Amino acid sequence: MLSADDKNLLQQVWEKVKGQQDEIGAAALERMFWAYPQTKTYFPHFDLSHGSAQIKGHGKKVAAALASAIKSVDNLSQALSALSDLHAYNLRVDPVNFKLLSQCIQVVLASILGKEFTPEVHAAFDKFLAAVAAVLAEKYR
Amino acid sequence: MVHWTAEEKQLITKVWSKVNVEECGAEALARLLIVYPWTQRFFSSFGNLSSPTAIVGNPKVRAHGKKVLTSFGEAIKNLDNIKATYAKLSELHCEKLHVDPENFKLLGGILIIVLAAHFSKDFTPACQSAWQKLVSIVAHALARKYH
Repeated sequence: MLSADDKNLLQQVWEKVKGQQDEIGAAALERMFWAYPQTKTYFPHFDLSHGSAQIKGHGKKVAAALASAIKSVDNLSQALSALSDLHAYNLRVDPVNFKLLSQCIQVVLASILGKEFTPEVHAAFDKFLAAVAAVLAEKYR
Repeated sequence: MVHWTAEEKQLITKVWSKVNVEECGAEALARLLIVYPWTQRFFSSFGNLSSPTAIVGNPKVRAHGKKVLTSFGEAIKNLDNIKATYAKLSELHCEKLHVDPENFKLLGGILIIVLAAHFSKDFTPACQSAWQKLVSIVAHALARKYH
C-alpha cells in the first residue's frame, strides 16, 4: 500500500524527471525488448530497431499514462480505467509482463537519478508500478 | 548447458571489474529488505531492521551483503558452469536456510537496479540484458537442488 510519504516521493521525483519523460518511456521499452525478447511478441507490427519512431511514440504514451497516474495516485482505478479496459478486452497482455516493464522503468530511473534513486524512492516506485499493474489487470476476468 | 556469446561474457566481466563488492553487496541486500520487507523473515538475528536508515546502517546487513555478492563473483568466474558452482549452496538454501527460491529472483532484480544507479548510461540495454540473463541463471542454479 502506498503511504503518504511514498506518494510525496513519487510526485517529487517525477517532477524532477518529467522533462525527460518521453525518453524514459522509450528507453524502458527498448530495454524490455532487449532483456526479455518474449515481450516483442506483442509488437509484431512495430519496427523494434534501436531509435525506432514507433518505440519513441509508444514510449511517450506509456510515460504520459504513468505521469497521469502519479498525479492521480489517490485514485488509480479511476485514472487508469480506460487503459484497464484496453488491456483487458483488446490488448490482453499477460500480466506477468507488467513486472518486466516495471523492472526496466526502475532501471532507467536509477540510471538517471543515481544516488537520488534512494532505497525509499526505489520502494515507492516498485509499489506504485505494482499498483498500476494490478489496476491494468483487474478486469481481465 | 548455458550459451553465452562472447559479447555477453565481456559485458558481464567488464561491469564486474568495476564493482565494489562490499558496497554493492551491502546496498543490494539492504534494498531487498527495504523494498520487499517480508524478506526480513530470514534475518531475525540481524538486530535493528526497523527503518530504511536502520537497515542501511546495520553492520550485519552490510557484512552479509558482501558475503552474498562475493559468492556471485564465483558464478562470474565460472560462467560456463554455474550449476556446479552453486550445487552446494543450493542444498544449503533448501535444507538449512529454507529460502523460497522466489527470493533469488527478487535479489537479482534489485542487484541490476543498483548497478544501473552506479553506472548510469554505461549500464546500457545490452549490459542489462546480459546481467538479467546472469541473475536468472544464478537464481535457477540456486533452486536446482531443492527437494
